[in-house]
Amino acid sequence: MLQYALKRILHTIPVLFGVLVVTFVLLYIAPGDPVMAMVGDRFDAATLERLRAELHLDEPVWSQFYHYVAGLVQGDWGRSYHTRQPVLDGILEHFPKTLYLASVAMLFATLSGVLIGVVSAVKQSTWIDGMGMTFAFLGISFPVYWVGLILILVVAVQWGVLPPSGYGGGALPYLVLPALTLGMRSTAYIARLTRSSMLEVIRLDYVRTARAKGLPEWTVIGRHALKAALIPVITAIGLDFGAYLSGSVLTESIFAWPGIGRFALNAILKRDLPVIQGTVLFLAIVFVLVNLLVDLLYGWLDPRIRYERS
Amino acid sequence: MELWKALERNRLAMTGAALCAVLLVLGIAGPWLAPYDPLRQDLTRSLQDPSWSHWFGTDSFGRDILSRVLYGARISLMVGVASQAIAFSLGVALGVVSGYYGGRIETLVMRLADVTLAFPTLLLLIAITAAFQPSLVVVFVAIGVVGWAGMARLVRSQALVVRELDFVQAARALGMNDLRILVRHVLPSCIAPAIIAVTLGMASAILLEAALSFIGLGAQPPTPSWGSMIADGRDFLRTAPWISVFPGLAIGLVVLGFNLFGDGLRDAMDPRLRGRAGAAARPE
Repeated sequence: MLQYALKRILHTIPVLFGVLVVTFVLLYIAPGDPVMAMVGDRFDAATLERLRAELHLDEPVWSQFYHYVAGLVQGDWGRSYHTRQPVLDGILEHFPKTLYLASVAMLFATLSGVLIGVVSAVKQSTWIDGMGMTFAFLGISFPVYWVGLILILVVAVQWGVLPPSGYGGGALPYLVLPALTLGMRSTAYIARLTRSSMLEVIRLDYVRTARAKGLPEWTVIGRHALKAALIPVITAIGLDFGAYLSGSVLTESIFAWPGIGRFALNAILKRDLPVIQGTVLFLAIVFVLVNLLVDLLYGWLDPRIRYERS
Repeated sequence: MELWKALERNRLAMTGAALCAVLLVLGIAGPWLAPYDPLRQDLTRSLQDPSWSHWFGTDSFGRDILSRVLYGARISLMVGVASQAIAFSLGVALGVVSGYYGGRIETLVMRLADVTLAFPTLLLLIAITAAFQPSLVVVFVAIGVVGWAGMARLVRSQALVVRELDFVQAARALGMNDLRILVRHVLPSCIAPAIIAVTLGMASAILLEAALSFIGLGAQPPTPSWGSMIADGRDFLRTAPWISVFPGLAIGLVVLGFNLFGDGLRDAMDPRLRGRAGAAARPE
């Protein structure tokens, strides 16, 4: 296990370096002069020259890249063109709210997805299974932001039972609709995965043995079969959680949730390049690290993986 | 055609095929079927309810929603085909070559794939499209270029298996040159998973284009992309929900079609994978 873990961790280093290169290049090729964006209308040639030198813009590309990485390591992620706020401060201010929303969404998706999947597998080929799988297909096909708008329209506007948008200091009523919306795809995906995984496990010998021992059906399903069936599901949960942390842009924008996705989107609409670059980099790093954790967890849960991949 | 028979027995897959066929027909014939000019504004007819003269109602500029949805089909079809053509050709070529030859080429290609896949898809697309002037062409290319990595991984793992098989070894022993072995023997055996991936990739691509256009980084007004139409209706959700509802339904049904068909295709091509949720399209 230790060898597998080390190998997997070392593998992450070139990936992270690649991520750095990509975010740097994206900013480098973006049109528009960063210095002009900073000074606005009031400028003279001397100021421009000084700022260029300060930002190392007069140096060759590789040197700019070096200064970029050196700055990142020292905690200097640049400043917003518009608010002058340090980018890292903005990220650290908004990220916890995304973490909060993503955790609740994932919790909801896991519980309901596994439940739908198990029931569909146990009642295979009945109308219950049919309903569950219809939902699973619809859930991965309809755009989340559209479903979010429909939920706002029905639940918040017509029934008036929940607030349509906003953060509300993190109060529960404000959380329900965004969490449902964000979690919808995962619910559908986890339901399908749990069902197919359950159907495989149910046919295995040890489950038959458990039944033959005369254990009650729900003990067989809940205790024996589910444990093994959940291994692939755990990976899916981990990967989706990583995706939510890094990309709940659409849901946050629909519900005016002040998380990092909306922070990034606002920066994009204002072409605030340092903020775009910083958030994309930060979120990609989070995504890579979550994926690393999921892989390690998977290797620990299912020893076969460790040998297959090494 | 054994494959077709297996597909025909699968009702869900046939439903999916029908939905894809509808998109194909609308994408080609949409402009002739549309009752109105999708761009013509008529402020005296703004925000009208669905009625006999405007089946899906009108938007705030008095444009006919049905006509715009029909024109939008062409954009979704184009984004699916263009982006998957790019992802397919890049992914299959690099995947086969790196799987067959191994060594440095393989390491390089797979590291590039790792980096591409290290970014959350939608976020990377947002960053790329934001770096350029927003347009549909940028979106087509960006989705295709981001999509190559998954395809290359898939094809490579298949090529790794195929190159060890007897008939490939035999071809090599007979002195056939590498290029010929690659094209005639390895490629055809690796293509099945790539075709399934393309079908499911169409679904992702359509969803991603809609998401980018919804944010404002894809199709620019007044182009009737389904995603930007949903965005148009956001401010009128209370008074004129149909502006957003119909394009959203259109996206959902078409994506559902490709998901169902792709799933059925996988079951038919490789019965061992039956029922696996596997690589179903799932961007954010």
